[in-house]
Amino acid sequence: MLTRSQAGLFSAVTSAFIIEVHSHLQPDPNDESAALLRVLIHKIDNTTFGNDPPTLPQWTGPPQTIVHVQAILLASLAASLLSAFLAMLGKQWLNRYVSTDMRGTAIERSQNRQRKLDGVVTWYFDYVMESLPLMLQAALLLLGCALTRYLWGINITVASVVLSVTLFGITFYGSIIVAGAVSETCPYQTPGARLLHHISLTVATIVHKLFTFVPQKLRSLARSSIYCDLFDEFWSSLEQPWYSPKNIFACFLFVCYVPVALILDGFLGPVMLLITFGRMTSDLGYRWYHRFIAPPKMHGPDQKTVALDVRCVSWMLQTSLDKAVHLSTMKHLATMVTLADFDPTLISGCFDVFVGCIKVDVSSYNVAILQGLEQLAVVSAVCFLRTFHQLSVTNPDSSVLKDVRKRYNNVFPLETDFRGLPFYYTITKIHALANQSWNPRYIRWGDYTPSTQEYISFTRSVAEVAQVVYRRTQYQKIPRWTLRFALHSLSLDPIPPTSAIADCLSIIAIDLGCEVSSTGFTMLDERCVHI
Amino acid sequence: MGQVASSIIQKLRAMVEDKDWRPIKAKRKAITALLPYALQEERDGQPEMFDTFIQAVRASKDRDFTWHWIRQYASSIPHETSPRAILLILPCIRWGRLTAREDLIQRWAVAASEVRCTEEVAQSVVNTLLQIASQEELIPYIPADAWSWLAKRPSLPPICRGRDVGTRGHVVRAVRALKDIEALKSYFLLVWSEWNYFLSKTCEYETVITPAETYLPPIDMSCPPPEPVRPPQMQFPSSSDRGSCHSPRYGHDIR
Repeated sequence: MLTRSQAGLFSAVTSAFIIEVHSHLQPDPNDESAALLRVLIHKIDNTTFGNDPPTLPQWTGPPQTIVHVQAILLASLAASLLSAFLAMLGKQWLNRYVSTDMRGTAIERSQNRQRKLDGVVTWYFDYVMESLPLMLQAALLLLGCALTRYLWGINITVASVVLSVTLFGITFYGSIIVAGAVSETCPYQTPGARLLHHISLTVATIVHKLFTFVPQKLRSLARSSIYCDLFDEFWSSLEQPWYSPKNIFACFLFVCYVPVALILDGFLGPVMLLITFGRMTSDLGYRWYHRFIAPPKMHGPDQKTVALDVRCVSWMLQTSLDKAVHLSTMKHLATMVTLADFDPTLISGCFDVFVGCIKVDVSSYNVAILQGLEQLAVVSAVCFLRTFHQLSVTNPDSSVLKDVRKRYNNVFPLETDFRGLPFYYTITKIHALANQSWNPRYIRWGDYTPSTQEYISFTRSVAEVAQVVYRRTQYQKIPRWTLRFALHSLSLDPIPPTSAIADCLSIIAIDLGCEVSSTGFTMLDERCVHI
Repeated sequence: MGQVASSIIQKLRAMVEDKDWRPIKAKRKAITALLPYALQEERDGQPEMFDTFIQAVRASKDRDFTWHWIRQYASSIPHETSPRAILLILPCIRWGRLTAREDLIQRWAVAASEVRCTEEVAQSVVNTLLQIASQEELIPYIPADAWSWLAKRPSLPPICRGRDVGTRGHVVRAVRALKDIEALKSYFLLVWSEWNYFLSKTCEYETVITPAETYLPPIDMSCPPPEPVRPPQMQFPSSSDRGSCHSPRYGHDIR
């Protein structure tokens, strides 16, 4: 709305100047009348104008300056009007976006809303909307330039004032662009600042790669030479200076060997090149084959649907403050078959909800659950572990992970005592993950005796880790500890819950490269997380 | 779960039918992890997965196929496990680091006495017997009846851990100590059938047999010499050429 009114104001101002300048684009009838009067007076009394008889002026078109000024002003007006037009369209688009579906279940409506949000992101809606102020700024700049040029021909002093203000505006705008690009915390962020930031990063990356890649390549080329190898070996074997009596003869022989080495280099070079090329080709072909032609069918439901659900969950956690909404969202997250490649910010959402249910006594390092939030605490702990664990495996260098670790350690110091909590095993595992002291390879699963619901959720997360790693390793293998966990779980007496068994079998099936249809996981969807 | 399990079974069967032992060996950890579930299914009257597991183990051509983490489970196989499953699974497990092995031997012996003798079962029993006997400290725990399975002379598979470790000196001594010439003869026939010189503990075997007076406990030579036996599959020389199986040169001549 603001953009539309601003665009209207700009258009009105520009139009006034256009009307003013427009009169200079055609012959002025007043000038012609005055010239005719001069001619008449000259006819009556030819001494009035002396030796300079008046003549009728010939119209040769408007001055070039006026044409330029008028063109710039019209461009400014067009930009303002276009901006107003797009603002009006944007209003319509946003109305459609915020419209609420009245049909379907809550999940379907959420998915539909998420689809719309995804469309907004995919089609760069924000960029289009951000271009409207840019167009208005451009219109203002054009107006300033046109005014300066127009007034310069009339009065330089007046034009200087307008020029100064215009230059000040340009300098100020350039400064805030640079400031916004340099510092992300600068409040004067504009689209130009982001663009400049992106360009500078790209340029810096290219320069960095150039400065690291070229010397490395040169060094590797030098190393691949037989002569260089021999020379290095020979040189390092000399215990005394090369000119010592003991070494001088050997050095002479080595120098004689130079032509031989060069010939060998010349012969072996193409052969080695061919072998290297062959290896690279076969490796590439193998990878392509396994990635595009013969990838085993992965487990679980459609990945797109899962990703959509995960984004819905993430959005709800970030936007809602209602604990009941949090609880139902977390329950849904806990029972999801897989998280696919979820957005890392989901961890932050889970962590925030979890921390909101917990109170840590700073003096005794005891943890207590806030009254009435017991259910939410348990589910959020489970979800937090699930997301935290998966991201720790799939992307251990994630900045979100580092941030969550930092925030976690601020809330839960190393000495925190978790005893007595209903989700003791879950929180101890989270604690170990946060402090990076959790290594599943060395865990004695015999000592792992969590509650049933903790066991179910942990088995699910292990299966997910196995699936993710299997995909990441080009369908070759899964972590060995996941198989060890599956073996341990299947060996338990009494046997674990059915869903945990199914997850363990899934781990084994993944490693064997089985093609399991999604219906095989129906039971996983329906497994109960009694919380 | 049923679909996942059936998918696993199909996959294992396909791997076995491919007759390529390398993929099976490469996935030995995953296959081993299936064992507890396969045994549970077998207890519930669905032996498909267990049978496929055994087929995969055999097709792997690997004497140490099972993952070592299975030993904790193997030491305490549930009591509901069927005798056949116990007999078939125990040869697949290394006895070296098992715990509660004495109890396991008792259960194995009971299972062997309960099950109907077939070629498959006899193979497994003898294979296990030789593996147990290869652990010297376990020999006293082997029931006397268990040694009688040697006389059934099942054809051991080409790659068989029992044959390899069963040629150790104390095993030979243990069999001789039975003073059952039939058992001793069967033992030699079993371990030498399809004997691979390079894979077996040749040197140890040779030294145990050759200087009999030095290494072996005294044998009551009053027992009548055995009848020369020629198993149908084996190409043994006649006893007239080689002498009796008491001959310390027997091993060299065979080789």
